[in-house]
Amino acid sequence: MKPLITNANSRSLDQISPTLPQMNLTSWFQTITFTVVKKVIVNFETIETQTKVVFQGIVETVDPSKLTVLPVGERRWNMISVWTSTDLELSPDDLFYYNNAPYRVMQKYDWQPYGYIQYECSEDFKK
Amino acid sequence: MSLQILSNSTNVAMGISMPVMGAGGVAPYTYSVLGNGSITNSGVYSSGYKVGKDVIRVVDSTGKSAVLDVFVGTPLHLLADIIQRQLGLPAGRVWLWDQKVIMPTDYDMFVVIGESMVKPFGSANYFDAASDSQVISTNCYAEAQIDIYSRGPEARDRKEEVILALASNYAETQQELNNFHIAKLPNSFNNLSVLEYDSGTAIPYRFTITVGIQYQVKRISSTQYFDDFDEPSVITNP
Repeated sequence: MKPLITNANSRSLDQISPTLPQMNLTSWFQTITFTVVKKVIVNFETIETQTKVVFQGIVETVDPSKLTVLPVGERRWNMISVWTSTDLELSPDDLFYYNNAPYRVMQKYDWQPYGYIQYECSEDFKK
Repeated sequence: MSLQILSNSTNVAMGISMPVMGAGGVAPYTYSVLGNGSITNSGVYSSGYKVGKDVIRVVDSTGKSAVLDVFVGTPLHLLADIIQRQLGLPAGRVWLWDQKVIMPTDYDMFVVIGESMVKPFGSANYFDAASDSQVISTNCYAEAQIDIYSRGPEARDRKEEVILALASNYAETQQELNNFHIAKLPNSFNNLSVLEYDSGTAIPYRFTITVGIQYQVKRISSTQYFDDFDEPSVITNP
């Protein structure tokens, strides 16, 4: 019987075809809406403006085992990982709202040669 | 010359009065203000008691109009304005200390202004019969902490210009107009560059000075506590 899951275990050692796993993220993509908070200084004060960004991507909660190896040191609040093929132009410390909760970008991993960008984000202070 | 509004300043304190004047149009001019302030028919603008922006608008007799943005702030805002103008720093490079700010990632200079101490001394509470209002005021002595940062060497090379800015003609004009006083210029710069470097942040130049300022905080509120009484009427038996 043909196995349901085709992984490295089901490949023979003399196989000639490429052995890299198929990272077809796009089949998992769905429409996501972020409200991105941008900050400008007006009259010597910080003013926050909100812009709605709609894009295709994946939002994944960061599991505890991965939290232990993350460098940001945040354990109390939720962390999410965002995978997208479009550059959201977010950099570390930028703020956005997702499902009415504020998140702050902790790290941006640019895997654009492989077709995606990953953001590690931590839940942030609520107003 | 097109219609414009002339004023002594566009950064003012709360509760001050300043004449503004329409120019370049056909008189007479009509003035109005959008925001917390007010303006008389002759063009005397009075700022409100809230930090923010007022938009003064002038309309000449032909119907042309011009606007002027006036920023109303605390003495710290005025210090920030003096430093930004005199050092010729671009907008957004001087701000009042705020945790929300995202630090710049370039090499140029930026200045952050905070308060290390505020000491109220003396207060007054009196009834102003002319305006039927209660006036409460207090004098304050504050120490403003001015931090000059840069990732490149600009802060190291230009930090003394902050002192020059505080002693400039523009600073004198602003103090005169806005009823505050730069009381004491600092004796020395605290070089906190080493502190910044050791803490692992990437901002190796930081110099701090503390400047004493005196100002008055005033609030005016109406004393019309009660509803007006009805006019007395004579009740007669039918």
